[in-house]
Amino acid sequence: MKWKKVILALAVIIVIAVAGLFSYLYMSKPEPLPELDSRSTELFAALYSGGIDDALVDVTDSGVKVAYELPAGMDSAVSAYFTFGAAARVSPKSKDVVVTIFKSQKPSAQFTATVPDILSFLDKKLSGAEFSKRVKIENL
Amino acid sequence: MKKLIIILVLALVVPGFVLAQAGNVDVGKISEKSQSEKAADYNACKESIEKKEAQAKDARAAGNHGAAAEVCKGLLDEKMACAAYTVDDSFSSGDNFKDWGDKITDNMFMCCESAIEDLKGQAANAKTSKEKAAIEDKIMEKVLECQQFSQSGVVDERRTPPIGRIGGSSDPWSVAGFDAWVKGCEEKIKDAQEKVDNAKNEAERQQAVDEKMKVIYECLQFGYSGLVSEGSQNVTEEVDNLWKKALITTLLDCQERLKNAKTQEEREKVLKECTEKVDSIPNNVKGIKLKENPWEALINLGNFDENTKKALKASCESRISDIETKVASTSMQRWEKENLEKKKASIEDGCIGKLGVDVDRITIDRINTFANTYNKNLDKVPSVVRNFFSTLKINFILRSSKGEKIVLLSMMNGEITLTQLVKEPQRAEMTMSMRQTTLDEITASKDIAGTFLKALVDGRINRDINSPALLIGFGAIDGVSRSQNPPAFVVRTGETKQVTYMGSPATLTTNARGTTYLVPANQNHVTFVNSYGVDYGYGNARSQGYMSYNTNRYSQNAGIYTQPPSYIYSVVQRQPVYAPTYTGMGFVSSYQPTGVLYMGAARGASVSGTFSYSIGR
Repeated sequence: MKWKKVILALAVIIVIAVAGLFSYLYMSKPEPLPELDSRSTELFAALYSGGIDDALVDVTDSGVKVAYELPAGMDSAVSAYFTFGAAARVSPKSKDVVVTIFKSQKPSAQFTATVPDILSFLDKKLSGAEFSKRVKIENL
Repeated sequence: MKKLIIILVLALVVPGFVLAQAGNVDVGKISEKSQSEKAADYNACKESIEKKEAQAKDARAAGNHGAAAEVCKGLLDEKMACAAYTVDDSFSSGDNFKDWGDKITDNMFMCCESAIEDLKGQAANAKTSKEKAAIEDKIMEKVLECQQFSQSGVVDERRTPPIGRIGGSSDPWSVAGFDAWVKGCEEKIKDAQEKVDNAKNEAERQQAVDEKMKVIYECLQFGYSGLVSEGSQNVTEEVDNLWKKALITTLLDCQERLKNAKTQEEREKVLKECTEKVDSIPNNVKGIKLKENPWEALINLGNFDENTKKALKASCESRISDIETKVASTSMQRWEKENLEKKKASIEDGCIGKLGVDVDRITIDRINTFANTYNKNLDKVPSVVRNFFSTLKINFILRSSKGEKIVLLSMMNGEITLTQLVKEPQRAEMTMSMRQTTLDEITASKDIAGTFLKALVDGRINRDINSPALLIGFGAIDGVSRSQNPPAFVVRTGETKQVTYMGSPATLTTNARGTTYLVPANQNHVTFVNSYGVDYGYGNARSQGYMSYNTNRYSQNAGIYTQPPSYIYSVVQRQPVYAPTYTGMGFVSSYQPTGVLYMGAARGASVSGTFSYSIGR
């Protein structure tokens, strides 16, 4: 009889422990707030200073993605080249920069360049003509 | 009729300034002359012009710009008179009107340059700052007049570039105008300073100081609304320098007044006025770090007596305390709180060590306030929480922009019985970390337990549990927390939900990458929140739409920024001179992408510097 009580008590403790552990593992994780990459903010500001107001900027180590509505009076290629320069400065270790340009809220063109190419051009190790050849332009 | 034609031709070809001179040409008289008279007069006119041009050239070569300016003034009239012969159909001069147009242009520039050089000479020889400032103003007027002419369309662009080229360096008028503006301001400031130095009593001195600040602000206002809009980087830097000067002047004045203040009341008054003046300086002035920490600058300026130090210390502490109260009592977004935290940290920086302000004591005071409030509200803490937080030790880590502070909390029978500032985490059952702003918010809350539990589940408080018993029991606490604070900010991709956020209606949306954001009613900016409505990032509603094209390319944080775009717009200066347009880049006729890239990159570097300061990264 005494053993039965002990076993019952142990069983209750085990059930509570398992339930507690279960609830801790599956319920108790506080919701972590995402860590933001401040480089996106920095590039957003750089684009704004040049007249591009509401760009979608996504800077990660793997690459920089930028999308924006082409401001009135601005040329697609010129704005894309400007974005390349600013993006490479803000995130020199990213692999590439992809600029998607919208006109009247519809995708219009996409310019892609690798960051090493942009930096090479800036360091005058790559000629302008050679760099331009390496820029991939897609009409969307 | 001919007179009318000439006036019309002149009006079309040489508008503005030149047209004003056309009144001197009596075309009617020319038509009344015989052919031989016309030929003789025309040749005499040309000879006279050649003679005077030689005189003007000699005067300029000899450095006598005043004489050159006088000669060229008369020359202009004569050239206008000669030009009139070329539009007379009955007379063949052998020259055409366009040639005279070029000569008039040459003359205009010579007049302008000579007049400006002459005024510069006068400025150099002027005895007082007041006189110098007046002459610099005259130079500005002359420059504006010449600039107007250069933009009239008469001037060959290849010879005189239009205003607004990169850096302003290729436009002589904007450079000259800028120089005159800066020098004029410098002289006015110098003149105002002389009045400060010569003041006979404190009242007079204070009035002179106020006048001086007025002069500085006026100069700066003109700079921002006028020349800066031309986009010259040099102008921007100069304006920034003047703002810095304004700040330093304010601080030096504060120092002086503080030294002279005799009573504590007087000192407090001075500090209050100084704070207001410092706060009136814009916060986007490049390189003006002093602004972030005026107290440090003030303290570094000189040796204060003990009473003044005491006043400064009290001012530091009261500013720190004011910020804490503001953070705790106001419903603010995260970036606003973080900015206030930075401001507080900079005040602390200036006050620690130099004035003996004990920030550790302020921290422990804050923890003690929290502990007292918690203990007083124990009955409101749910029993399940009270039981698990009964008797244990907690490393309480407070994070701020300045770093971390660790406080060891000891709890006995649910009450916080001991708080102790420690250098490293101690042996304890649990470690909790949170931002100082979160703790301030909990302490100030009417429902301390509820706010604390909410912060536990919404991710603002991180915890690391070392005790197995506590580990198991925490599931139950979370259950209570979640039942009291169920996530309300949840919506599926493509759906929207109306919620109340910070007391106002807002629409909740989840974008293509699964991140949820709020769009306040009638606004375009968005706030990214977790499922408990805790904000962590900001963006534009419109740009979120771009993501639907090629969604998979973007990360979950695409289009999410640490500061709201509206705030970024307010602190980042547009640099129109670098704007990626062909003319802005200096590429007028053809598309030259390599050059554009180069300029774009150069701008990228420049913006990066400005921005890192502006938002205090």
